[in-house]
Amino acid sequence: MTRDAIRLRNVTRTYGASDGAVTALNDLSLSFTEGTFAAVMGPSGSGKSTLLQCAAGLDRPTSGSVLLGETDLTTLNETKLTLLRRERIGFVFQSFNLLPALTAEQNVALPLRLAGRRPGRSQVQDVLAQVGLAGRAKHRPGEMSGGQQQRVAIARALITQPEVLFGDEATGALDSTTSRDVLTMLRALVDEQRQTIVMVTHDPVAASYADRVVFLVDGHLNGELEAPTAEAVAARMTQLETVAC
Amino acid sequence: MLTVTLSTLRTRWMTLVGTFVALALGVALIATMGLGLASTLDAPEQEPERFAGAPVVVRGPDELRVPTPIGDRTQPLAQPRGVAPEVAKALAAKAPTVADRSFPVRVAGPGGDDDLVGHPWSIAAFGGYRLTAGHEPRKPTEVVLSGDASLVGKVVSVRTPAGLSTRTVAGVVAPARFEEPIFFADAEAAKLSPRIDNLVVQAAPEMVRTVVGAGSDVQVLTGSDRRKADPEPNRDRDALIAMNALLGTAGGVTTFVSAFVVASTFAFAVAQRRREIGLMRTAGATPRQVRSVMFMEAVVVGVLASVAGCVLGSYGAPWLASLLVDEQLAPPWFTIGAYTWPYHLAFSTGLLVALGGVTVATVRAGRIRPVEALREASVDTKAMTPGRWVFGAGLLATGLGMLVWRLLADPGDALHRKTYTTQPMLLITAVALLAPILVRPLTRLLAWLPAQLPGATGMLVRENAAAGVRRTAAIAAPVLVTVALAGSLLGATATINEAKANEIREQTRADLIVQADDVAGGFDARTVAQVRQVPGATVTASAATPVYHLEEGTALIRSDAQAVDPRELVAARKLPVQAGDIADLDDSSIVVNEEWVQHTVGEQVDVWLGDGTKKSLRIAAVIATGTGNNGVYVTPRNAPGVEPDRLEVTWAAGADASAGTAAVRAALQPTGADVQTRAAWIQSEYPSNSRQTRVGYLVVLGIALIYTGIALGNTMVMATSDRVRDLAVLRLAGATRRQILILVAVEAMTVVVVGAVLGTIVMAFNILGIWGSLAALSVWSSVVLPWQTLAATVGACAVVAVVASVLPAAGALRTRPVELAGARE
Ligand SMILES: Nc1ncnc2c1ncn2[C@@H]1O[C@H](COP(=O)(O)OP(=O)(O)O)[C@@H](O)[C@H]1O
Ligand SMILES: [Mg+2]
Repeated sequence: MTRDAIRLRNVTRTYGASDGAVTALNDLSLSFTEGTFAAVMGPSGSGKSTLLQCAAGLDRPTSGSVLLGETDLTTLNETKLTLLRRERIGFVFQSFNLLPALTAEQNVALPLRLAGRRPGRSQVQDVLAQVGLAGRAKHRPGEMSGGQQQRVAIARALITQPEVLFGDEATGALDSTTSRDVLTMLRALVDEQRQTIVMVTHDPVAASYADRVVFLVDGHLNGELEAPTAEAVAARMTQLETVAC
Repeated sequence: MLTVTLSTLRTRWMTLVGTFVALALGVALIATMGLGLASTLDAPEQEPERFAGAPVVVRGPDELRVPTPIGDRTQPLAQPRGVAPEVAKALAAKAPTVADRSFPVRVAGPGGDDDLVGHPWSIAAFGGYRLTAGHEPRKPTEVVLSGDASLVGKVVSVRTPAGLSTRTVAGVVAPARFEEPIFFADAEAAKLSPRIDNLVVQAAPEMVRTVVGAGSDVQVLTGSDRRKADPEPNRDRDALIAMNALLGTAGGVTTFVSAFVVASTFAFAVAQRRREIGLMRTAGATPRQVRSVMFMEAVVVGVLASVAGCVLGSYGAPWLASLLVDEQLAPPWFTIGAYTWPYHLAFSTGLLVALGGVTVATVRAGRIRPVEALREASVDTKAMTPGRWVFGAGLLATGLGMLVWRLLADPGDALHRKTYTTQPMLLITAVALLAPILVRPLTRLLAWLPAQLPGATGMLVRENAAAGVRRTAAIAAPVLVTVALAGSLLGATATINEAKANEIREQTRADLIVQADDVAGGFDARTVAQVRQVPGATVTASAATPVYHLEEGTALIRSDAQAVDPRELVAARKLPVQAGDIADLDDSSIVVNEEWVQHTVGEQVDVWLGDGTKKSLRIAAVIATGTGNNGVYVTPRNAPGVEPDRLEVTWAAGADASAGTAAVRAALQPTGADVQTRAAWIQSEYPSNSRQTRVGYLVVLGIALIYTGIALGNTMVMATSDRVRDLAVLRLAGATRRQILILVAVEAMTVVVVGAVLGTIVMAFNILGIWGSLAALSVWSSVVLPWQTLAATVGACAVVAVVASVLPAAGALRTRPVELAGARE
């Protein structure tokens, strides 16, 4: 049986007021199934990041609701939302957002510590091993390559065993080989541990690792592809971008 | 890239404001102190007061004048000689004269005793006194006071050199600003104080001079010279001398603190802009270009801030003047004069220090490689630069070297205010430069325990403080100065006071001590004899009298001496004799202390006695300098005309002390002098800092410390603005606002503690130095640390630091973390 990990209902997000207002998401309804890998694509400025941030509780929709399991994120106050993010959601950005003063290990353990729990030593080691960084626990971000830093960021997102892992251009700053490694790793997480992943990307190859691709144009849903290939996604994107222009 | 520029603009804005504030306030402080100091350099001419209405005043010699190769040296005589009766008679034969006698009088008033100056009524008019009620004193028992009319007819209890008596207030005069008078009938005044201190002559000065004779040392005062006959002829000038010393110290301390804070703020500002500099380098700027951009910016900020500082100083100086007047540290007429040099000094000091700080920092900035802009953020791997090593180690060696050298060569010097205010400065600068080495182990140590807790705060505090060594050192710097200065100065005075008290405790052997006060003068022979007759009492009678001597042929030095019988002396006091034997003291010899250049037993030394007589005395014994209170001793024969002013009674073994004490008290009852037990005497002699000294310290330290407080807040705001991105990342990792604010507050407190520990180390060195010097002077003392002040100072620093970091952090938290963390690229 399949359940939805996260559901967006009639979500609208408008930036600015009155005349200068930009509608980044326009009455969007969408859901992501548990244990699947979804990619979000669309031209630049189509609202992909906004969608992800609303879904992850980093931003609040102007109207509509976002349901994580049975919880409506739009009804929570800032502190409750932080606690929920800490326990149930993982997020990875294009920039790695690690704390430069902490080692890989300490960065990964941070969410647990912030929750007031002492991380088990093996717990941190396991997650680091999962992202292929077993030997790098004591290194600081400044001493690691971009790909390694992004893996630390992913490990940090995974340490709380979140219901959904979001990624915004998570491989955007990496070279193609490194990016492929990271994507293979994410794919394995879905296959082996039934991790739910939602990832924004503009790279058709990256999207081809997903089970499903949804396309956004001007804050509207513009179709989707199941079991996408890189070629099919690329063709669809070319079409969207010419329409958009 | 966009966010890099944005965050750069943000830090840059804060950085510019931060350096501007630090420099402007620093320059304002220097200008304020400089203006204050300049204004103490010239006192207005003081007009004659007591004899403003007299044409000519004849006055006995009141100065010791000693010719030296570099001119006459003078010292006021302890026992001024009055106008000789023959001179007075000769003048009275030629012209109308009025004799003045000035003597201390104590009147028991409703609100306690009042110390007044007694005069014959005839001279009242010359000082501008006019009766406002009642009439002049006609009978010996009548007096005139200054005060309101209701006093007339009252009977008051009056103590004069001749003893206690009651008098009737016959009239009152309006108060004068130069003294609080009490007038007696002329004949009565002559009886109470036979010596003629001044003689007003109603005649032409030439005539008076002829009568007095050219060779005489009697002074004939006319015009503004008549001021010399005033109660305090140099009152205004003396008031300024004390203020000049105070503002000199305050100026030294504030200049140091300002330079220190400005240099460290500017250096920190450059360090903080590493990303921006890296960006410039990426865009193709050469190290030279980077340096010149930084330098030009510093020139612009430096000039603007220094100008602003001078303007602030021009408002600050009058404020300081009125503060000093309000606190009675300055005479009421004290104002700030129109001087320009303090502005020049403040402006150029500020600008030079700012540019110096930037120059040193830009050498380093030029070396920043372009890739550093691309790094997300950086950890200070190498916070110690060669410059820091060289200057830090050099200053440390100099500071410690001077400390040791002083111990060996001139331990007495360490007890002077000038020394113990400057000594900490070298060490503070040295420790501040070397701080980065100490910061990492110190923070690890401090945060060790909290880091063991499951929560994130302890670990984050430890790692952030240790990783941001330069930031930690920069914030700790103002705390270091504050703690080290306050601790060293207050600790030094407290330790020296303690040593003085110890010295007194050590030396006092007598069971009872009676000290005559100014009014009672000394104890007459009859009273002393009565005390000596008390069974079982060994009495030591000593008289305070100065001895003057020429040092190195040019400096006329006044030493406090006591005239005492050597056999009596050893019974009452235990003196630290270094050479010779006190028992050898006789009428042709003297006991000196090691402060005298000439202190070899058996040598002859030329001295002038309290009345100005020159004598050549043999050195009988030498005592240790101690804290500077160990005086000089002569026999009573060498203090002619001075009555003993202190009696020390020691009970023989088995004597009835309580009956004896009662008998001593009874014998001294008519003099009104206070008979104290040894314990009470030691207590009363304990050097307590007067209100003026305490307020003086407040001016010296307080103003500098307020500035370091502001600098601390300022650096804290600068540093926090640099942390905005880190805080956003933390929030994305799941930290709540509360957790972040707590983290920021704890981090601020940790850094304050680091600074406090460093400051305490500096303080410890300084106070140990003082303690060692005291030991070298053969004074044992415990080290007194001003814990209360230190705790208050550190507490205040913690409050400032927490507020100055939590407020900007709370402001930054209002923005959504995704924007700050640069998620949207
Ligand atoms: N903080 C903001 N303020 C104003 N407009 C914004 C803000 N963030 C995004 N937008 C606008 O919303 C639209 C969608 O942005 P975004 O979700 O970042 O698109 P994408 O990630 O697909 O490129 C764009 O037109 C963008 O300019
Ligand atoms: Mg985007």
